[in-house]
Amino acid sequence: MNLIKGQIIDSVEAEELKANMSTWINQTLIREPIDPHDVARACGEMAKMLNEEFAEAFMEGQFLSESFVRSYIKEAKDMLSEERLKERIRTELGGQAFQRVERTDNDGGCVYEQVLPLGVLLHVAAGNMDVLPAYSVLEGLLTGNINILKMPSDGSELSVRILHALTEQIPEIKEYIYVFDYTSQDVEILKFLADLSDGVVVWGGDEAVKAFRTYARPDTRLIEWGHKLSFAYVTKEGMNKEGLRGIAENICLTNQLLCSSCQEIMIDAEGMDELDQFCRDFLPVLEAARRKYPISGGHAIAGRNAISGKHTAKGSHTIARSHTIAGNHAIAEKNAIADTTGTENVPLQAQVTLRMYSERLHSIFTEKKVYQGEGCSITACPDRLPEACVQFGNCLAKAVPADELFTTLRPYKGKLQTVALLCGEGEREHLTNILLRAGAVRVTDGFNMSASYAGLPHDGVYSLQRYTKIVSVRKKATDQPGC
Amino acid sequence: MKACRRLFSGKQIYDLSQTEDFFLEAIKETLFFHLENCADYRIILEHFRFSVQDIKGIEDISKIPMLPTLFLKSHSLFSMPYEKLFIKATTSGTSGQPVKMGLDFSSGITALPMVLRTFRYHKLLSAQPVNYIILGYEPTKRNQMGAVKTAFGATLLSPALHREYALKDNGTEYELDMEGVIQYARKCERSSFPLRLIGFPHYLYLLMQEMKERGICVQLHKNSKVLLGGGWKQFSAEAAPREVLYQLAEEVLGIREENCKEFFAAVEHPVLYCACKNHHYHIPIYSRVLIRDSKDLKPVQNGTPGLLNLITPVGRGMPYLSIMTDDIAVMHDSRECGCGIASDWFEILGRCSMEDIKTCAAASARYL
Repeated sequence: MNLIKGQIIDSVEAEELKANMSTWINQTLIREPIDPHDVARACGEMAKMLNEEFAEAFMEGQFLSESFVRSYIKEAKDMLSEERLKERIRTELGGQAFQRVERTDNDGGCVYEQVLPLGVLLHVAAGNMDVLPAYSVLEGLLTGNINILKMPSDGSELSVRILHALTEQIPEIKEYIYVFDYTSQDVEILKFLADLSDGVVVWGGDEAVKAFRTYARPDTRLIEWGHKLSFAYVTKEGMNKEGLRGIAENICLTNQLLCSSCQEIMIDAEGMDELDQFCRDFLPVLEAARRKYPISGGHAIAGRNAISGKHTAKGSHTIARSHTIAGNHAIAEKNAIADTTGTENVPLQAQVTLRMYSERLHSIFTEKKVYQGEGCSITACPDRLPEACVQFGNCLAKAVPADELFTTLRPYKGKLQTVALLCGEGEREHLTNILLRAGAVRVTDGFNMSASYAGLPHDGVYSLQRYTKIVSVRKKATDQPGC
Repeated sequence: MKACRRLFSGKQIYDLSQTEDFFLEAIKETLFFHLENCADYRIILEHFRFSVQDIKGIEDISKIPMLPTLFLKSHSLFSMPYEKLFIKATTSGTSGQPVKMGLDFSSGITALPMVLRTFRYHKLLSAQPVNYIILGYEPTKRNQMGAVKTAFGATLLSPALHREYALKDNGTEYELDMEGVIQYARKCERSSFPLRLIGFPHYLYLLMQEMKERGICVQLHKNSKVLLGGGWKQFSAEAAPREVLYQLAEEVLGIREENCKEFFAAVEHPVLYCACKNHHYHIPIYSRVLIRDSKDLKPVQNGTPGLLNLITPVGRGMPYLSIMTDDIAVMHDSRECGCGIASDWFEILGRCSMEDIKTCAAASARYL
């Protein structure tokens, strides 16, 4: 599915594209850029329309718990309101964003500085969440850029439909959005699109980032939103029920799928004995959180391993892309979302069980110990490395003494993101400093690890700043007096 | 290996009750062998507090600790040196490195009657020479994939006049030569020998669609057959319903549904499952199949979906008596089929692969 000048089209011939893209983009670029405040207004109108139907479409193919998704949608409605978006422009780009700000240069001549759009952004979106591509383009529009979006190969149509709806809200942005569904194999086209761009925005894992570092020219700005690791650090003084509950709830609410989700709990301790004790104490807390936020129903297997309802023997069960399996019942007629007390998702549960059973077998040959709970687990590991876990409520626990925390974390500096810090108040400043210096960009508690607030920086930067440039212009010729 | 040989030489390949005692004896016999020859397997059984004495009746085979293929991809177990294995093959590992697998000579001999009797039962054994189209990879020295060996092995059951491969080795990589295969199929229309198309359903589907689009239809020899195996794998999203495949086979190749057969196999489990005339995989005397609950891995009743657990006593090279694949399946009562085979049958519903989970958490390399 492609979107060009406000029209959704099935496919775009590469040759046609190459012939016309430069002309289209140049024609738009030499005109006055779109006003970001108009974009904020249009977006705010659309945010009001985030409803039940949208929530259902969004949840398809996700494995986040329903509770999380509903609170996420609520948060999104607020964050995408006109007021909040304008506030974001002010916070990230300054109160005089896009206006000329006068200064004097060395000769006493008048110059003005101005925040301007970078120009053209190429967005490359991995298939994390189906609205992520649209969100990325929105940030590009808020900064006045022309946006070319390469959709993920297994992405849903949701983002394209959202962007199409936006072009209907403000027709002027039709020439500011191009969406293509070329695959990652179409390297020549991707290089061509990167060549047209002032900035390339990459959302994805290391492979995607590495690839686009080679496609983009050395003089093209790269804005990389890679995969991240988040974890908790708990000291003896910080070991309290409420704090641990926060970590446990983050694990179960997000199923550990987000870059801000807690993958691992590091405790300030020396050896396996203390670690084992911690695991025994934490397991009931984790189980309670799992009862509160059961493993997601969501939908059955998404993507290429889906089996459609078509080719199953009569009377037997099927797993369909947009259906759930419900005990011995036949396929649901329409997209069903398993609720928190409802039917289990067999393939998802089976995946998690299979992986945890394998972990159990691996642990026989290592010093790891799996503490298996109801729908969750903690694995005590003898090493100290930060790493992602099996996910879906199965976290890792490691003993890392506070005086070794910095050296343990530092090799992972580019990957660290959010840390839930549970400690005494006397230790907080010192430990926070260690975590931030090692590379983390957010220190909070367990409850807030994956919660956003208006103006929250993204991976340590204000993203709108990355999509703009600040120019300096001398207002008059040297021999002309005044400003 | 006496009990195992006795089991595998059974004449009624779907009469499970007749051979149940042999099966139990064979399982115990193989368990003892592996306990003695594979230290890691012994450690695993000790961890689960399982001993061979726990096997008293057929229901006790569920107590044998299972080995998921997921685990085996990063932790192979051998009861004899790999070099001594008779048939060696590889399967894809988690880190992209191929994982070694194999069958010892003795077990190969034991399993031979299974292959012959299964093919004979399903009318696939024939002295008449046939031509073959293999919808898979051309065997080369550098390709040790199990699927390649299986496909080639299948061509030994009727004398092969010629083998035409869809994926040909051009020296550096494999190339899909659909045109070559189409031309060969057209050539076979004039042959007085049957043609057998063997391989992956995805390539068969591509072939037939291409032929249909180009208006190429052939009427092959009446004994021609389609033998499919391996599932759709990474092409699951494009999987066509069985009825569509068979309809196309008749339309484009002149091969009717009763001459189309499907096979289920797992590289780690050396038992052949050939679908009956209603396209169902009945359990043969050589194995037992359990479906395990997706939460607690306990065996479930027929009709409930879960993880597939395959159990067989054959195979001395690796202690893979009881393995769990990543297939989701369900077991049905034999009477739900109606083909006349007395044993229950299993149906594959899908796979549970972690690649489909969308996440922005930096993944552990182990699971990529």
